[in-house]
Amino acid sequence: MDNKIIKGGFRQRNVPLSPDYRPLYKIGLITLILQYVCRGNKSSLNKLHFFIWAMKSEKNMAFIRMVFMTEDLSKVVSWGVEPALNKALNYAIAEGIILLDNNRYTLTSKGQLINKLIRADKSLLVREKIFLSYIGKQKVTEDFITTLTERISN
Amino acid sequence: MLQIEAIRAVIHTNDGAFGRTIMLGKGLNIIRANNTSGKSSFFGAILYGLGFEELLGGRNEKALQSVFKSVVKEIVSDGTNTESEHRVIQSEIYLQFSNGKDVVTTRRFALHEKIKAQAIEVFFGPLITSANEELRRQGMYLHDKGSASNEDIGFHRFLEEFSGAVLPEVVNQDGRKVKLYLPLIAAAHFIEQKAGWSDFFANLPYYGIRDANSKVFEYILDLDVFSKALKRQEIQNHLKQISDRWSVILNKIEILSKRGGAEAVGIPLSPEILTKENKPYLRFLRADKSLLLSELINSINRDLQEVMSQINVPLSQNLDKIEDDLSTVKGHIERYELLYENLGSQVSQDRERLRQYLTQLKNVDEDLRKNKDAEKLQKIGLEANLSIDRGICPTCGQAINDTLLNEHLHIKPMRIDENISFLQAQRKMIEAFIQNLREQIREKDIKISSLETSIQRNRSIARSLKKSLIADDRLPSEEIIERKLNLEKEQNFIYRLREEFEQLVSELYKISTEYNSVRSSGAALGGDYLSSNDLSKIESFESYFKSLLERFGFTSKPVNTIKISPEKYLPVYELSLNNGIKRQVDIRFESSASDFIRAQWAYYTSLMKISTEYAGNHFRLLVFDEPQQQSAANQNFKVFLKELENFQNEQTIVFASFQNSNDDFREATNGLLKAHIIDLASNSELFITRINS
Repeated sequence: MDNKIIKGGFRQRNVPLSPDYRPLYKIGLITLILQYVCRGNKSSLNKLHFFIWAMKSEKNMAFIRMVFMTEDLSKVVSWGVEPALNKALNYAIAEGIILLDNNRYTLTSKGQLINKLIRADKSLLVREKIFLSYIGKQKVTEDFITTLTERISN
Repeated sequence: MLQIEAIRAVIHTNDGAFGRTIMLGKGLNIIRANNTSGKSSFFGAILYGLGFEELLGGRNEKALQSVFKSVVKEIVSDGTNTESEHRVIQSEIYLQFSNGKDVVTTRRFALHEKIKAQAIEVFFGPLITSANEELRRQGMYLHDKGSASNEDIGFHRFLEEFSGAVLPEVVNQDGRKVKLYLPLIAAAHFIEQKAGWSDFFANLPYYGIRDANSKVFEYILDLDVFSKALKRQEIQNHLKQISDRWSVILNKIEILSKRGGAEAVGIPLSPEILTKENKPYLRFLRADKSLLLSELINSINRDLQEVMSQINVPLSQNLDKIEDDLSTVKGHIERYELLYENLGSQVSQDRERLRQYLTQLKNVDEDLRKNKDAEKLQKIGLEANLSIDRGICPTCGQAINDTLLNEHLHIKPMRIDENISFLQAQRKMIEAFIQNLREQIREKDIKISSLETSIQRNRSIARSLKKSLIADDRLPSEEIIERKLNLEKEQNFIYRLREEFEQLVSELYKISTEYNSVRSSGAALGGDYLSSNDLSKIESFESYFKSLLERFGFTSKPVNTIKISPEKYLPVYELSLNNGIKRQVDIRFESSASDFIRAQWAYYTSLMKISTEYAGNHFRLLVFDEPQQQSAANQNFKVFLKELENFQNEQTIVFASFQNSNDDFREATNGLLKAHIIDLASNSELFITRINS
C-alpha cells in the first residue's frame, strides 16, 4: 500500500466585525455628536458615551426619542460604556481630529473639515443625523448628563 | 454668454443722494479699491442685479450690506477727514449687461417703501449708458416658486433665455425632476470674498440637488451625461411602469386562481421575457389531488355522464350502490380531516419560523446600512489621508488592524467590503428562506382551503345519501339530481375561469414584449457614465488646470501627482502606497492655504477656458472678489492676472485691494497691456460717494 502523505493545515480566516468596532465609523459618529448636540462643540467623555450608546441601534435611538417625547426620564436606567469609544478617541486625538482640553473633547479644524464632508453626503448616516438634529444642543447638556448619572448611581 | 457693461448704485438718504456708476469692458477689468472702501458691497450689487445674491448667503436685501439698507458713511473732504453718517431712505441697483447681441438693464430696489426686493424690472436696452432712450420695460419676479419656470415674469427664466443657457433637468433629493437652477451655475462664475475661497464652489446655494457641484461642472463643460442620464431615467420609469402593470395582472391571476381553488404555475414575480414554450398554466387542487385544467374538465365531464346515466334509475335498484357510496364518502371525510389537521399545525409552525426570519432580516439590514456608512466614512478618512485608515498607528507608526477591540484578542477583522459581501450573502440566504417559506405557506393554505371545500362537499353528499336511504324508493335519487346540478355549475364556472385566465395571460405576453423592447433600448445606451467625448473634455481640463498650477507657483505637491477626480471633478492628489496601490487624497488636506487659493484660481479659469474651447455653457464671465487670499505671493497673482488678460473675447472682473499698497498694485499690474483698470485706491475713495443729481 502506498503511504501517501496528505498535507493539511489551518488558516486563520478574517472574522466579520460590527461597524461599532471600526475606528473610522466611531470617529465619524463622534464628530457628528460634537457638532450636532454639544454647545461650543465641546463634550465630556460621559456624554459621548451616552450618545454612542444611543446610536448603537435604531431601537436605542427610538427609545431615547420616546423618552424625550414623553418627557419621562425615569425610563433611562443605564447606558453602555464601552472601551472601544476610548480607543477611538485616542486614535482621533493622535490623528489631530479631536482635541482634549480641560476634560472636554472638541473638534480641531481637521475634525471640522471631516465633519463637513460627512454632513455634505446626504446619504451618509441618515438616521443618525436625523436623531441628533432632533436632540439638538438644548436637550442633553452636560448638567443634564451629570444629573442623570447621579440619579442612576443612587 | 453674459457680459456686464455697467453697474450703478443709487442710494437716497436724508441728506442727498449717494452712489456710483462703473463701466466695464470686454477682457480683463481690475477694480482696485482699499479694504474698507465698500468693495464687497459693490461686488454684492452685481450679484443682486442678476438675482444671484444667494451666493452671498441670503435672499433678497438680506444678502446686501448695510450701506444699501440703513446707513451711508461719508468722509467729508474738507481736510478734516471727519466721518458723518446718513440714513438710507431708498436705494436701487442698476445692472446693464449683454449676451453679445442684445443689451438689457435690470433695476432692483434694495430698500423701497412699497416695492419688495423680489421684484426686478428689466429694461430692454442700455439704460445706464444711454439714459435718454425710451425703453420697453417689464416687471419680473425672483425667488418665487415660479421664478425659474414662469414664462412671463420669472426673471431667471428670462435670464436663462437671454444668456442662451438651456438648463438641464436633474433629479433632486425627493426624487422630483427639477431644473439645474441658474444660481447654482453662477457659483462657478462669481467668487465672493468672505467664504467663497474656502472651497471649490463654496457658495453653491442649497436646492436639495445631490452632487450639485458635479452637475454644475458637467453642465458648464456640456458633457453628454445629461442627455444620457435623462434617457436612462426615462427607461427606468418605463420599466417601473411595466413592472407595476405586471404586478396588477399577477394580482388578478392570484385572486382568480384562489377563487378556483387553483394555483398559477410559471408566472415570474417581476417582468420577464415569456416564451411560447413556457406558457403559464393553472393547477387545481381537489381534495388531496392536483389536476391540470384539462384533467379537471375531463373528470367533471366523466362524472356528469355517470350521473346522467343514473338520473332516471329508481332508488330501489340502487340501494347497494348508495350504501357503498356512503361508506366511501365517509372514508374520504375521515382522511381529509386528518390531512387538514396536519397541514394546519404545519402552517402555524411555518408562520412562526417566518416571523423569526423576518426579524433576522431586519437586523441584517440594519447591520448592512451601518457597514455601508462605515465604508463611506473610510473613504472620507482616505481623502483626509488619515493613517489609521491605512492601517498604521498614528502615534507609533506600527501596523494596526481595523478594529477597536483589544489587540490582545488577536482578531483579524474582515475588510469592510468583505464584511458587506458577507452580510449580503447572509441576507440573500435569509431572503431565500423567507421566499421559500412564504411559498410553502401559500401552497399549504391553498391545500387547506381545497380540503375544507372537499370535506364540506363530501359531508353534504353523505347527508344526501343518507336521506336517499330512507326516501321513497320508487323515485330517482335526490342526491343524484343535486350532484348533477352541482357538477353543471362547476363546469360553467371552470369554463369562465379558463376564459378569464387566458385573457390575463395574453396581457402578460403583451407586457413581456414591451419589456423586451425597453430592455434592449436600455442596453443600447451603454453602461458607462461618461462618453469618450466627455472623457476627452475632462482630460483637456485636467491638463490645462495642471499647467496653470505650475505657472501660478503651486508647490505643495508635485503637479504631476495632481489629478481631476472622475467622480467629483475636483482636484485630488494621488499618492502611491508601498504596495503599489494608488490612492487619491482630497487636495484640501494636502495643500498649504495659499496653494489652495492658487488651485482655485486655476480651477475656475480652466473651467472657462475649456468650456469656451469646446463651445460649452460657460457664461464667458468670471468675477472674483479679492482673489489674493491667504497671502498668495504678488508675483503669482501677477501671473494669474496676466492669464486672465488673455481672455479677450470673454469678460473677467477682479476686485482687489492689493493689500492697500501702491507698490503691490504696480508690481502686480505692471506688464498688463489690455486691462481696463478702475482705481479708487490711489485717492482713497469710497465706492459710495455723494452724487449730484
